[in-house]
Amino acid sequence: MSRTPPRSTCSAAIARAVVAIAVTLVLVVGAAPTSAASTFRAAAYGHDEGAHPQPAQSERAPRRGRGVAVSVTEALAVVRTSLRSARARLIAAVALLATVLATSVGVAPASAVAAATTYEATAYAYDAPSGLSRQDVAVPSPWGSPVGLSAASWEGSVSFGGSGVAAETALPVVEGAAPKIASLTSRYGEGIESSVLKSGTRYVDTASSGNINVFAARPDSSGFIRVTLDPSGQRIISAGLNTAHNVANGIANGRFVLVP
Amino acid sequence: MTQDAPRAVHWKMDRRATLANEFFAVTHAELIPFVSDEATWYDFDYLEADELTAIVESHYGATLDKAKLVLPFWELLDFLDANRAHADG
Repeated sequence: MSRTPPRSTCSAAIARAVVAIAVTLVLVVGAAPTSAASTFRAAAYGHDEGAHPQPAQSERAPRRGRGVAVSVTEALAVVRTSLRSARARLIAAVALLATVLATSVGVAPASAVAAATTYEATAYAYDAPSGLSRQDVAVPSPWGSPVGLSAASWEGSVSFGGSGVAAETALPVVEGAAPKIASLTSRYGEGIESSVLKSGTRYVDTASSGNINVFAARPDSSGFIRVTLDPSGQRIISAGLNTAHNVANGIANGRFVLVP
Repeated sequence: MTQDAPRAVHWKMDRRATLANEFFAVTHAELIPFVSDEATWYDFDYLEADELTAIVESHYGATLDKAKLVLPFWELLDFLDANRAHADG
């Protein structure tokens, strides 16, 4: 039967093993222990600050050139302090090992610095495009027109004639046109341009360099739906409604010449 | 003759939509959803030139000659806007 509880015995054994490893590594690496012990101390207090008083300022100050004996003494003192609780013992052991190993290899601090630098650089890199891509900054459009997210095309991207060309010429436009197009399509249906081009009557407009007006009577007989083509008939250059009176006048005065 | 002609480009007109709507309002034009950059006033409005001249002078305070009417409509709008004499016109 043991005089001490099994748990304490185990913990003490672990602590002794940790100290032995630390001492061995300290003896091997020589100059490393001072910083290792300091780091270990910081780690230990950092995990259990409430249970352990802060060391005196003189202990916290860097001690250079005191050699291996001082470092080992410091390490043992800290380990003893840490053994007051199971949690602190475990943390102390892990911290001691990690610190000694990292210090002897000499890689960890550099890695830590590099990681911090990378993190900062990444943060700034993130901020930079964020500032450049602010949505409230006016960005010139390729066409030189002010583009707004809420702007609607004057002609609109709504398919007026169902010809499938809206996307081809879809450009940012201004408020006011969309309702017109919506009004036209609601009154005469989608694909109205194609319908007019298919069934309308064609007239060459002698007042406008030979453009071709295609007229189709509105269902309610209130006038005409017009689609105006270029002289070759290959492009729509305008579309809209005209009164019967104006169209009749144009035919009567010879402005509009019927295309045979 | 094609039945599915594409629309001509209209980005210059897009930039002048407010001016265009003002013009349509004062000339009492019917619904005109689409005017391309190459269209002239003649391509969508069948008023007599003299009627238009009177309207323009009354609203914009600018004198309009027939030579201006054969310009692309977007250029005509620029001319009217640059030469308007009435603050509210």
